[in-house]
Amino acid sequence: MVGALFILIASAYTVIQSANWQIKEDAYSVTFKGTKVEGTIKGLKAIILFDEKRPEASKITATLDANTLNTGNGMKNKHAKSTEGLDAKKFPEVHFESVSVTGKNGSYTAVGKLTIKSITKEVDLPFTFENKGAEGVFKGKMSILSKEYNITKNGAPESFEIEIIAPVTK
Amino acid sequence: MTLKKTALHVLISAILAIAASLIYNDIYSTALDVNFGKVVNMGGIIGATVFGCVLIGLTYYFGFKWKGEKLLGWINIGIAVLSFASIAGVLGAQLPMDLESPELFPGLVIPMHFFPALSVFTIAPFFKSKV
Repeated sequence: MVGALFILIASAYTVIQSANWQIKEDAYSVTFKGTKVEGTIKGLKAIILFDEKRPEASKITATLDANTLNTGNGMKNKHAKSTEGLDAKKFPEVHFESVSVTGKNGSYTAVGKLTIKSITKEVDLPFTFENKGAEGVFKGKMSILSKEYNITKNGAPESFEIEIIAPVTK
Repeated sequence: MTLKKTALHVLISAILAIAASLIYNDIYSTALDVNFGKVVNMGGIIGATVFGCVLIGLTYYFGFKWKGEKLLGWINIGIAVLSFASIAGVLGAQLPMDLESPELFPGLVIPMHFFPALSVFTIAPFFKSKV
């Protein structure tokens, strides 16, 4: 019992010790790319507790606003947000929550749960972190399969590559 | 129909169509609070409108030379059909990602695709009477 309590307090302490990075508004980009379609999603809100020296103590939670999806074409936007796409009206949030973070020397991998259309799947998000003192830049890229998230719209690519570039400050 | 009269017809049509496009662009952008200036600017509007009017004028001129006045009706139909068909290009246009509300882009540009033809057709009777 005492041991469990100690572990709980210790783990809470390590999370508190991780630096809290704030994403710079209007400086980040979240882009997606698939066959014949690419675009951006805005509305990124994230809680990033990350320490390069102790990545295992890190915790990353992020949400995106599906309604801000923009492919640069009105018809494609409509299709992408439709019920067979992201169903943005019913599920306005795309959510990621890390389960574990590993890595060293600027290259890391966050294993986490990605929720789209209320379907949650485990994904790997390899990322790099460039530390510039009180500022830094996270860059990550991952792939998802459309079918896994019930994205079945005709013409939708089988998979999407999602790239995140997030300049941050302490 | 002389080349000089055709040129004058094209010139006046182009001026009217450019004026209509610029006024419409201003009204639409203000009313719907959108800014597509990155892809639809004054230079582009003038260039595309002059190109459209010159193309129509040349078709008129050579069509008249070839078959006379009876062909002009068919040329008008051809111009209207081509103007309509050009909508496809607008609907499929890929805008820069940083432009918001791309779904409002066709509403701005599609009417402009008809302005050169509309302008040429509108003042055509004035030039026809002088032939």
